[in-house]
Amino acid sequence: MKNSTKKRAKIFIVTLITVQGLYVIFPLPDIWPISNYSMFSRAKVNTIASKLEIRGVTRNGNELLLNANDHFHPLDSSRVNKGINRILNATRYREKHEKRVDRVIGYLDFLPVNKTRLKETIQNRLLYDSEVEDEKEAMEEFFSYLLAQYKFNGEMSNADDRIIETYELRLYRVEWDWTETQIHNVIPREELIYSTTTGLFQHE
Amino acid sequence: MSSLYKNSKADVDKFFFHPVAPDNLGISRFLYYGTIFFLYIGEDFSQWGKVPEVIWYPIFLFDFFSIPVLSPEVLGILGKIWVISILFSSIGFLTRLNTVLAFLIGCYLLGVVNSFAKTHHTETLMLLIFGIMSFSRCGDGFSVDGLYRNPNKGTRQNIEYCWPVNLIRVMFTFIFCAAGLSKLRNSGFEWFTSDFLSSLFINHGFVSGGSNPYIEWIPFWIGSRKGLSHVIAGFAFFLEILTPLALFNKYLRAVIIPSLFFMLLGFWVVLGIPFPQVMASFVFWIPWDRLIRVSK
Repeated sequence: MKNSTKKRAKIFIVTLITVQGLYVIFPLPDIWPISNYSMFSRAKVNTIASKLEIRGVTRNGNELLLNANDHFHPLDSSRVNKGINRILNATRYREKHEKRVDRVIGYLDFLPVNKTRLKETIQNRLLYDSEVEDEKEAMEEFFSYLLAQYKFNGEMSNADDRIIETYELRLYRVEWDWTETQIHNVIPREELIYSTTTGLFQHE
Repeated sequence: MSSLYKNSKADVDKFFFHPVAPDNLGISRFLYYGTIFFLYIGEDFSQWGKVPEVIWYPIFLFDFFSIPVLSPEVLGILGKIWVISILFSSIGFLTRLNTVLAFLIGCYLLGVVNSFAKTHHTETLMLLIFGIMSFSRCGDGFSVDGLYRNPNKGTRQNIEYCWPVNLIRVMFTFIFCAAGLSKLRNSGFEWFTSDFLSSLFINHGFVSGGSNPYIEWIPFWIGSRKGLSHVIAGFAFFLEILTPLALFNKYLRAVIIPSLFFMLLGFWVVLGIPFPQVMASFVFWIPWDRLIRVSK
C-alpha cells in the first residue's frame, strides 16, 4: 500500500469516526444519515395507545379497513400517520423546528457572530418553512393522493379481492385507554376526524 | 505520556492496518450487497415522484442544498440503476464504479424517501457501509473483477483489505452505543427501572392488533410481566452501551454480537420494527477467511 493511499485512508477513517463519535457523545441534531439514534430513549410510561385508521367506504356504505403498507404503497403506515399528524399539527412542528435551530445556534455560542442574524440566515436557507397554510386544503390534497394510490395499487395487484370500489376515505383515531382497566377488558374508542366527502371534523 | 501515546497509536495502526488476505472483505461484500439487493429488488422508486408536497419535510441536506425530487420517470430509472449497481457490487463486477454508484444514488434515493413525512434510521448504517466500501478495494477478492486481474493480486495479503471491515465494525458499535447513551442521557436508569418498556409492548399490542394472529399475543404477554420487561430493558440498555467492547475482546465479541442480532430480531417480532439492513451488516463480524481455512 502506497503511503499516499494509506494517508487518504487514515483521513477518511479519522473523519468518519470523529463525526459519528461526536454524535455518540453529544446530543447533536440529526443530519441524516448521521444520527444519535435517540428513538425510544425517553422513558415516558403511556397507558393510552392510539392509532390513526383509514377506512374506505364502499357503494353500499360498508367500511373497509385499509392497510397503508398494502394500499398506499410506497408510503407505509408510519409515514401516512406522521404525514397526517404534521398537517393537523403544523404549528407544533414549526415550533419544534425552531427550537432545533436555536439549539444548533447554542452550540455555536463561541463564534463572534450576531446570533439573531445567523438564525434568520439559517431559517431563510431552509425550505422547511413550507408550512401547511390551510390544513383543510392540505388534507384534501393528501387524501386525494391516497385514494388515487389505493386505486393504482389495486389495479397493479392481481388479487381480485383487493380491487374494491371505494367512494370515500374516512380517517379515524382509535384509542385504547388501559390506565384503570385490565388490558383484556379495554374497549377501543373511535373518533371520526376526516372524511373525503365532508371534510375535517375535529378542527372545525 | 509520550510512550502511552506511541503505544496507543501503534495499537490503532495495527487495528486498522495489518496485512490480511482479501477474502474476508470480498466475501462480506458479496453477502452484504447480495442481501441488500434482495431487499430492494422489487422497489419502484418512480412512485415517490407522485407523493404530494404537503408531506414533504426534507432532511437537512436536501433542505440546505435545495435538492429537488426528480420526475417519476427519472426516479424510476435511477432506482433501476441503483439496484443493478448493488447486484454488480455484490458479484464484484466493475466493483469500484458500482460501489460508488450504489453509494451516491442510494444517498439521493433514500434521501428523497426519508424526506416524506418521516425520517427512518434503518438505512443509515447501510449508507455508511456503502460509503466505506466505495473507498476501499473490496473488489480484489471473491469477485468477477478478481478473475481477470493478475491472479496474484487477489491473494496477496495487504493492509488495504483490513481497514474497511474494521471501520464498518467501529461504525456499527458507535451506532448501538449512541442509542444506549441517548437512553442514559434522556432517561437515565429509569429507562429500565420504570414500566416504560412494558407499556411500549402493550401499546404496540393494541395498535398492531389483528396484523398477525400467530404473534399478536406476544407484546401483551411480555408487557404484562413487568419483571420480564425490566430484565429485557436492562439487558438492551447495557448491551447497547457496552457494544464497543466487542471491538477489543474476542470473548466479549462472541457474546455481544449474537445478543445484538437476537435483540433486533426480537424487536422486529415483538414491536414490529424491522431492521433488515442493520441485520445484514452482521456479516462483517464473521471471520469468513478463517471459516474457509477451517472447513478446508
